[in-house]
Amino acid sequence: MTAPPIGLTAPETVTLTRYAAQTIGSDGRPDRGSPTSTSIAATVAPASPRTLERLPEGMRTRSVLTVHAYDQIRTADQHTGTPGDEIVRGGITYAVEVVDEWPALGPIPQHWQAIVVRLAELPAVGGP
Amino acid sequence: MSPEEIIQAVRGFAKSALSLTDSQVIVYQGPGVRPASAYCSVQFVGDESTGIAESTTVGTPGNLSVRVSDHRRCQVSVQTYGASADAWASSLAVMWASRHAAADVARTAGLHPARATGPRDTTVLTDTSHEPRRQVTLYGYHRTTIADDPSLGYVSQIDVALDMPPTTITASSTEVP
Repeated sequence: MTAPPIGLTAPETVTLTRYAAQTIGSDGRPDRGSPTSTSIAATVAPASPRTLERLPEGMRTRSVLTVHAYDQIRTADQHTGTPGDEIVRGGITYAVEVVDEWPALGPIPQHWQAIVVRLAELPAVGGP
Repeated sequence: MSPEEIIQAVRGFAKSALSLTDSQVIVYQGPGVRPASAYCSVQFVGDESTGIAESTTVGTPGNLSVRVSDHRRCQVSVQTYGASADAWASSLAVMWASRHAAADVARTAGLHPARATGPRDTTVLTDTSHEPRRQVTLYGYHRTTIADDPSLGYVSQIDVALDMPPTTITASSTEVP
C-alpha cells in the first residue's frame, strides 16, 4: 500500500517571478528577460545559522528565509543566461540564491528547498 | 572622452583583436547573470590629467564661452575568465602596446593606446581556482573637454532696452564767468 503524499507544513501562497534568459546588448551590458509571475504554495521559515553559512558574508546580515515548495524553484544559470527566480512574500521581494532539488522519496513528493535573500539591488556580474 | 566612451573604445578593440562577440566582452560589474566562460570584462580604472589644461574662448560675439580642454591618461583593466581565455590577456597587452591594427578601433574613437602591463594571474588573488583568471591593464591618452562654461566668458556687447513712462526733462545751465 502506497502512503498518501505528505503535504507542506503550514503552506502559504507566495508569488514566484521567473525571468527569461538575458541577452547582452551591444554596450556589453545585459538586458534582463521578461518576467512571468505565478502563485505557488510554499512553507516559509527563518534561516538557521547553518543555512546562513551557505551564503557569502555580504548576504548574511540581510533578511534570509528558507522556502520549501513542490513547484520548481530556480537559481541563476550562467550557461543559459537565466536569472534566478524571485519570490514575493508580504510585499517584500527575495532573490533565490541557493536551491536544493530533492527527489521523491516514499510519501514525500519531489520538492525544492531554496534559500532566499531580501533583494537589495540587482546582483553584479563580472566581479572578482 | 567620458568613462563610458573609454570603456566602449576598449571593448571595440578587444572584440576586434580577438574576434569576440558582445556577450564575450562585457562591462565589469553590470547587473545580471554572468555569462558562460570564457569571457572577459572591461573595467574603467582611472582617468587623470597629464599636464596643465588649456583654455580657449569659443562662440560668437554676445554668446561666448570659455572651453577648458585637457590631455588625459586613462587606465582600463581587462579581466579574463576561464581556462580557454588564458591567452586573451597576453594578446591584448601585446596588440595594445605595439599599436596593432586592431587598436585602430580605439584610436578612431579618440583613445590612443600608450602601454599595457603584462598579464597578471589573479586566480589565487580572487580565490577562484576552479576558474583561471588573468588581468591586464591598458593605458591610453585622450583629450577631454572639461568645461564649456558661459559664465567664465567676457561680454563683448550689451543690448539695453528701456521701458519708461513719458518724462519731461528740463535742462539748465549756468555759465560761470
